[in-house]
Formats: sequence, structure tokens, C-alpha cells
Amino acid sequence: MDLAALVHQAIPLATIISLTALGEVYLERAGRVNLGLEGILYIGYSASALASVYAGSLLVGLASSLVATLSMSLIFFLLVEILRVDQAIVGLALVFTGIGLGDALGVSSKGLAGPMLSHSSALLLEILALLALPVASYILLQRTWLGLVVRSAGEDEESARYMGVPLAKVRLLALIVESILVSLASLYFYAYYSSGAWRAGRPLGLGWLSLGMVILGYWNPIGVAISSLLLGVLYSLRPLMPAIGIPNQVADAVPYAVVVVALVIASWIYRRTGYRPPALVWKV
Amino acid sequence: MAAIKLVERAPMERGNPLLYGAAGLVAGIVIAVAIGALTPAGISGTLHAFVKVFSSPSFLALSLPYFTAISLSGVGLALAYRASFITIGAEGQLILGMITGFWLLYYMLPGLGRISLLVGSAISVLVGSVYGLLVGLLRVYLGVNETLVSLMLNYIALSVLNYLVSGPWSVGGFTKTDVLPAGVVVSSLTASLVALIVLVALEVLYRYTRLGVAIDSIGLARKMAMTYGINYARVILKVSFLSGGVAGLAGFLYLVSGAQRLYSTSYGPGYGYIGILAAWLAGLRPLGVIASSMLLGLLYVMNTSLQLSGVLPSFVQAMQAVIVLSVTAFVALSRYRIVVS
Repeated sequence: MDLAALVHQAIPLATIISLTALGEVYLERAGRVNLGLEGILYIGYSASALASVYAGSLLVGLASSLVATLSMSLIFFLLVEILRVDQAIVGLALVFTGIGLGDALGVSSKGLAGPMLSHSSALLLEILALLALPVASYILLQRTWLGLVVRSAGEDEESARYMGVPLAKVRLLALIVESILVSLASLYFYAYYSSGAWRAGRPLGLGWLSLGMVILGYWNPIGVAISSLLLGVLYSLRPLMPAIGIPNQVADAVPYAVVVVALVIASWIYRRTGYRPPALVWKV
Repeated sequence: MAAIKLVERAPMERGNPLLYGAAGLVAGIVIAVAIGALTPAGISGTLHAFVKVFSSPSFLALSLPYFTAISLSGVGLALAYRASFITIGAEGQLILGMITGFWLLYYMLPGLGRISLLVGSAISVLVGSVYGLLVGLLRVYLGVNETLVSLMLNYIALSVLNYLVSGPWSVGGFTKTDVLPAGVVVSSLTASLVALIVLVALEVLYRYTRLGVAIDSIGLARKMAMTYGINYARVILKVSFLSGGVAGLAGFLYLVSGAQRLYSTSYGPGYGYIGILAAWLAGLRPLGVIASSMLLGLLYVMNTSLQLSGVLPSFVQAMQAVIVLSVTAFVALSRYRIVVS
């Protein structure tokens, strides 16, 4: 198999991971980490499946997915920004809430064929996820006044507050952006990647991998898109593994093992070069 | 328009977190039962399963193996979280504890009875510790994000389990192993008593040793702790080693008292993940984990009756998470006064 074919196969998964991770980039640049991404993506996937099957329209599916992801993000905002609960526990609890509620919602669309995303709209989302949005986000975050405000919220809270940055509003905005991008990713996952068929547990792991891609892409939208694409290439190598003697169950773990190694190398490089991501996110 | 504002109270004016936590528990249970409306069981079915689990002592006995696994995973995580070491690796360490235990008891030391239990538990603890220490080493020396690495290590442990039960250790073409010999099976009561002893020992460690103070101080004010001569790297390494070890023990005890064989599931056993919830529900106190794990273990038993009405097992975990979220939100609320202006 040649490289072009591999990249071509990698694009669908990379689209999902890149959209999800780009949303998280905004939030982490604004100084918060949402560990609940896995659950939010899952509930978005199930909500879009349920609504698409019963309304027969992908727009309704997108809307319902957006409602689901937004309400999860709102819980995160209320608990973390207003009540100052530790963001780690809120995120982890949202993982379980999202998966459990997602299964409860999705199970009634099990075995029913939903509408599928047309190739042209899928292509549009792919270009958006891997090209347009990363570049636009990079310009927005690094070259505009609004981006400076967002990034300042992720560096030094006190200084940002003295300079008049409305921290809570900035983070709410970032959470809303994240919800929108995750709902797009979940719709694409449901209606294109899994061809309009809901199955329990299908997107499990993708949310966690997206969180990893944020680190590998160095909190930089373009870097995130590139690392998502590389992860996609890794996944498209997955079917070739049994042929060279790796058992199926072990092959399942190969992407995770590669991501661990990549994270180790990347973190080591970041540390050696003294190149530093958002201060509130990087605890060393 | 009336505006609702939260005003932070002075430390002496704060509400009693226990009372607020109890209110949060009640509210959480109400919400958890209410979201049962989304499932095929409906609110009434969920409520029925809930009441049934809490009304009969026989369910308490049924929940003991889960209590053992959840409490031991949770207590290690509680100490780790106190040091701001957000690992979620208990699941993988628990799986490795189960695998090691089975390998030793079934293949390596058959017919030794009680002695093999001692040897098996010691080695399972060691394997869990080393797997936990790996995360700590990467965190301390290379600055790798511990949450993600521990999660990925969980997936790797799970795939090892799935490989073993479907390949080399599989019996009769099913994705499960043979049952452990009767000589090494322990009653669930004994196993949970062992867990209790470990929990009390860790409470003592947390309250009365230098390590306990160091763990707290690192979590609360790391720079100050380091200024006062606490070695950050060493504390994190100790905590990761310790939490991995108890999670390994959790897997071993669950194997000999509950599961008695290894089998494959796509989600994995999951007790290491419930341990995360147990740790936070207990307010990160080792002794509190006893109460929180009993509650979460009992809720876990609901799975058996809910599954009959077509509810997936993940739903009970969502109920547990909702209860934990509600309790932590209410406890946080005790620090504020609600002002309507």
C-alpha cells in the first residue's frame, strides 16, 4: 500500500479526532482541561443517532447532538467555574455520565438504519477539520485580540483578571466552541464513519486519544491537525497487523502504545527545549 | 430581574460539609433515579431496582466482592489525588493483578493451597506497584501527563487480558479461562476483611506518617512544600507505587473471592474506574472510602436486575457518577452563601 492510499484511509478518523481535539485546544488555551471529552463525544454520538433515526434528518441529529454536548459542558462550567470543584473529578465523572446516558439514549436506535452523510458534506467536514479550522484557529488564537484574551486566561489568572479579562465568560465561550466542534465530530462519526448504524461502545477511546493529540500537537491548532492525521495513518495500518503475526487483541492496543511513546518523547522534548504550553495546564 | 450570586463565606461561617454532602447524596440519588426515565426500565423500574438492593441484606453479601475491588482501587487513588497526581490507572493495575494471580494460582503453584495465596497476593501487589510506578516515573522525570498515560496503560492491560483469554489460556473455545481450583478460593467476607485492614493501615499511614503529611502538602501548596525540603519526585514515586500495589491487590482478591476465572469483556472489569468515583465520594479520605465503596458496590449489584429489563451496565456507572457529582457540588456549596438581589 502506498502512502497516498494510507493518508486517504486515515482521513475519516483524523477528522473526528481533529475536530474534538481542536475544541479542547480552545478550552486548554483558556486554562481549563476537560477530561470528560470521552463522555461528551459519546453522548453526542448517541444523541445524533437517536434523533437522526427518528426524525430522518441529519440536521435534527446535529441539533440534538449539540443539545447533549452543550448540557454536559454547562455542567462542567457550573461545577468548575462557579462552584470551584476540582476540574479532574468533574471531567472524570462526566466520562461515566456521558457513556451511561449515551448508551441509554442510543440503545433505542440499535439495529435501525439512519440517514447517511453525503460524500460532499463529508468532504466539507474533512476540509473543515483538517485544513480550514486549524488555520483559522491558529490565526484567531495567535494573531488576534480575542485570541490574546483567551490565551491570557490560560497563563496567569490573577494578571488576566487585573487586566479586565472576564475569565468565566472566556471559558464559557471556549466550552461552547468545544461543544459545537464535538457535536460535528460525533455526527460525522455516526452518519459517515459508522454509516448511520449505532452500536454500543463504538467511539470509546476516541475522546481520550483526542486529549492526547492536544498535547502531541503542542496546543497548536495546526499541530493538532497534523498529529490527528498521523494517528489516523496509524489506525489505517491496523488491518495489516494480523498479517505480520500480531494477534488481533494485541493490535487493538498498538495505537495506545504508540501514543504513550509519542507522549513520552514529546513531553521530554518540550521539557528540554523549555518551550512551554499554557501555564495553568502544564503543571511541572 | 433577580440576580443570583454566590458569595464566598469566611472559613468559620462555612456550612458543615457532612450535612451538605448528605443533602447532595439525597439529591444525587433522586437525579440518578430520574434519569432512569431514559432507559427501557423507566423511572419505576430503576426505583424498584434501587429499593430492592437497599432493602435486603442478601444484596450486601452479593456486593462484597465489588466492595473489595472498588475500595482497594479507590483508596490508592485517594492518596494519589491528594498529591495532585491525577492517575486513572487503577483499572489496568487491577487487571494485571488478576492476570498475575491467575497465572500463579492456576499454572505456577497448583496444589499449594493457602501458601500459594500468600505468594500470589505478594507478587500481584508487586506487579501492580511496578505498573503504577511506571506512570510516576514518566511523570516525574519526563513530565508526561499522568492521566493520559495511565489511561492508555489501562487499554494495554485490557488487551493483554483479552489476548490471554481468547488465545493461550482459553478453555473450550470460549473467551474465558478455567475456574480456579477450590483450594485457593476465598470467601468474599474474608477478602473484604483483608481490604478493610489495608484501608485502615492506609488511613494510619495518611494521618500519622511523614509520607501522609508530604502527600497533603504537595497537593495543597507544592512550591511551599518543596521549599520546606519535601522531595516532590520521591513522594510522587511512592504514591504511584503504593496506589498501584493496592490496585493489584484489589485485582487479586477479586479474582480469588469473586470472579474465580478470567474472562473477556469489551469494557473491562471497570472496578478501577468506579474506584475513582469512590475516592472522590469519600472526600479523598482513606477511611471514608469504606463507606463510599459500600454504597457504590451496592449500586453495582443493581446491574443484575436492571440488565433483565434491557439496561446496559454502563447506566449504573452513570448513576454512580451523577451521585458523586451531586455530592461534590453540594459540599462545594457549603463554602458559599447564595445571595438573591
